[in-house]
Amino acid sequence: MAYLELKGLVKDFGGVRAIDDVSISIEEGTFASFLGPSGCGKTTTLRCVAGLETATSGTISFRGRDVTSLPVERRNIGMVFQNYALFPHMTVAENVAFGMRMRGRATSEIDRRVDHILQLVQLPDHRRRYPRELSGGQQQRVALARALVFEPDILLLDEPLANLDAKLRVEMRSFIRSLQKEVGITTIYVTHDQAEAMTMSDVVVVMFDGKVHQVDKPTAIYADPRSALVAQFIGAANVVPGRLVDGAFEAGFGRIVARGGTQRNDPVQAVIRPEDIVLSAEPSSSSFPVRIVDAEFLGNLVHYTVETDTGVTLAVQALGEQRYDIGRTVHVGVEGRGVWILP
Amino acid sequence: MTAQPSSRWSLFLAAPSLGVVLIFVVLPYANILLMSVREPSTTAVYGDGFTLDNYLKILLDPFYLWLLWRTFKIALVTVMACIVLGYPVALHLARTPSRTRSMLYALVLSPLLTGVVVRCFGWLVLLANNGAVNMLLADLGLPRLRLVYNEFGVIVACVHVFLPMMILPVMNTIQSIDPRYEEAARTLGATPRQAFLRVLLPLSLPGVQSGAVLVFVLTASAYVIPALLGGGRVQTMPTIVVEQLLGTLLWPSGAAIAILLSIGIIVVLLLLLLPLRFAARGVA
Amino acid sequence: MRLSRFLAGTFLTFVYGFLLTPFVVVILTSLNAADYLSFPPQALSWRWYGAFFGSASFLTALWTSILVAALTAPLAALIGTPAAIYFVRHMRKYREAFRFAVLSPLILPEILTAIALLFLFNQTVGTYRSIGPLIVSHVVITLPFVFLTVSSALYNLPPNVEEAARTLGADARRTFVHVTFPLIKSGVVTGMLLSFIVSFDNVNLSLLLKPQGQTTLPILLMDNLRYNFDATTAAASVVSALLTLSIVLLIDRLYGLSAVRF
Repeated sequence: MAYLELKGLVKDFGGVRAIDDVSISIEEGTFASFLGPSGCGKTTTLRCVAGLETATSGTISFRGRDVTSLPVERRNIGMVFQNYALFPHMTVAENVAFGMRMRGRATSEIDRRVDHILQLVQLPDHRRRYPRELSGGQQQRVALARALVFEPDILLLDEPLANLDAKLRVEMRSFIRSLQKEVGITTIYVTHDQAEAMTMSDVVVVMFDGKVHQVDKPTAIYADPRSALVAQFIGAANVVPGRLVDGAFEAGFGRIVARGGTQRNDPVQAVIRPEDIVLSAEPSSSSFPVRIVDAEFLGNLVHYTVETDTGVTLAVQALGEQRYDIGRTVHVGVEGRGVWILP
Repeated sequence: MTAQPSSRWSLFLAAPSLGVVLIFVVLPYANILLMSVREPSTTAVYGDGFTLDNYLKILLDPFYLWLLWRTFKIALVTVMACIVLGYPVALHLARTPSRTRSMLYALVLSPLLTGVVVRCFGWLVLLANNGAVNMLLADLGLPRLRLVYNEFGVIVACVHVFLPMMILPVMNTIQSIDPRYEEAARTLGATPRQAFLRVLLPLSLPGVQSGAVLVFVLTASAYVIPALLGGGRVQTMPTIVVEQLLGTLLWPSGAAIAILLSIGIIVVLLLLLLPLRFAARGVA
Repeated sequence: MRLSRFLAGTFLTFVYGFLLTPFVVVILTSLNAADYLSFPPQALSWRWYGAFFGSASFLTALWTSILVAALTAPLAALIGTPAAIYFVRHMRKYREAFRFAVLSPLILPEILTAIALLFLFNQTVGTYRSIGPLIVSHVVITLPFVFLTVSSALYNLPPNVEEAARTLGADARRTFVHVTFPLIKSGVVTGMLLSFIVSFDNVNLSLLLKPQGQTTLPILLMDNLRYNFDATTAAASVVSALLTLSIVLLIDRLYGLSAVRF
């Protein structure tokens, strides 16, 4: 039985359908990221799980128990907001203690737990400070402490690092991940930053336009994307139409052994990662010729744009040792591992 | 922060205030209208039956028409004086650095907090026949001037009392105008004076308009200032209305005068605002 | 350039001076040692303040004003605060109409409101010249201030704090008690204090609706100014002004004058 189960979740705002038939199962203790561009419905889904939005239809279950019509305050969730939402009129200690106060715990227990969690988030001496006296990173850690201290069933994070500067973001990323591992709590993390999602998660849920496109481990998302959108969102990708003939991908300009796809002669789309394309001055048995249309030198990497004799444009990422000039014809080989047929 | 869906009982939050407005604003105002068409009576606040005579009597009486004219004249002069005196202050306040600004801002606001009667008192003492101004003139060998209990005194006090109501909207408007517009004009070759006349001034006109409307309505409906500074000799529509209501029992006529004053205010505002709106559009 | 700067400076000083002059005059008059109202005073004395505090009629009027204002302010807060909460948090349709309605007493000429209420109370309750109607009318006119300050406080709440409270286990009522209200308290108190000032200084409403035989301080001052002028009136004016100014200072002390934001 999945720890968190969403079945057929739909949310409409007026005439707009924000999420459409979202169904996801998440196991206990998993760190799951909801990833996608702005407006894809990831935050709406999170807020439905939290209970801050009421789903138009569909069900949400925690550990098999249907919570769809349960009000927010009874769902036993811990949530961290993008702008921290710390209570400005309360000290750090009072902020962190709030959840337990609402649950009627004894003062001695509250004090003990608050101290413990502040140690955990590395803010042991900040009990009496007010949020306005803290830096962004410190406020974020207080928000985490506040959400975790009463041991909720699920931890929900809504783009918590978006307001931090780049360096702090990277630090906080590993901090959040190790904290989550230590505590072992099932976590949903909403972000539009694919680096965050890929490095932090056990599972990534990729969404576009209110629909779930893929739920998988990060490596699988990268290597075996389910749709062109997913392929293009995670890392750069060339999406090329062609046919699958006898297990090889044929696209007019050449023929490459490929992974995936069924063995029929259907029109398909193939994903070719720029870093899997190899350029060389000499042809080989499996190469095909292209003309270099553009080149961007980025230190040790070069981004080429090349054009095949059938007019297909490809992006290529190569190491900077060999430099080819624009207009030159070179020969392209593709590592077989690097062509993936979209389902 | 999303608005929560309005549950049924959240309407109870709004009910008291809506109730207050409906019962103590909408209803009474409608009632004035009703009162104005009732028969006046000398034994009760109104008699039996309805009539339009109250209005006819006023409209056909040159005294009332002249009174209306005088009320609006005072109001318009006040507005213009407030614009002339208030605009530079508003400009200064809006563009001063914050520290001195809050002090000056408090200075501009403080009259608003001390009550109109106190302020009128000050003017009475200053402008009276043996008041400060006349004493000064006498010392300089100049003849004394009649400065109170006439329209002049009323206008001076009105300008004083309502000046902050012109300064504040204009200041707010100017503060919201990005100084980079003027800077852009300067880089394009405009002198400071031209940048002001062609960029800042037109953009600030909506604030001037708000202030003008505010001051006009306040002055035209002012009772205390003409009552005190006019000393019974300068009657305006509001003072006549109050006199009728408190002194005599002719409430229906008082009501009719009040209605006509209101209509007059609205008409004058429309006449003033429409051309201003065209001018603003043309300039901006 | 210098000349225009100088002229501008003189003009501004003149206008700021214009705004201040009447108070200076009143203050000096109240300190005048002489028997008659003369200006400028030749010698200074506290005698007129002594006369003020020794005058039963002035003190009663002062007390009445304070009483009425002290009753008006909390009532305005009680009605205006929920209205603001409803407007900012719950209202979807007809928002502009609601806002206009609540703010209407500010927009409509005060003398007309006074007349309207005079008619209303006379025709419904029969007694229109008594404390009840007077307080009601003051509440009507001060309600918009509370509405504006509390709305402003609500708009300035940090985003998501109420949602955060909900996720931490607080239901709607507890969220209001523990989070929302403490954060809008400054708006409520500022609105109340502004209401006090407006009610205390009010003339138009009090003139038409005050109980027979009782009077408020502004009305008494006005009557004195019309019929018999002496420096006790000046002392009374200064006391009145000091009272309202000290309330403004109180607001500044508590929350800073930026709280008086609409």
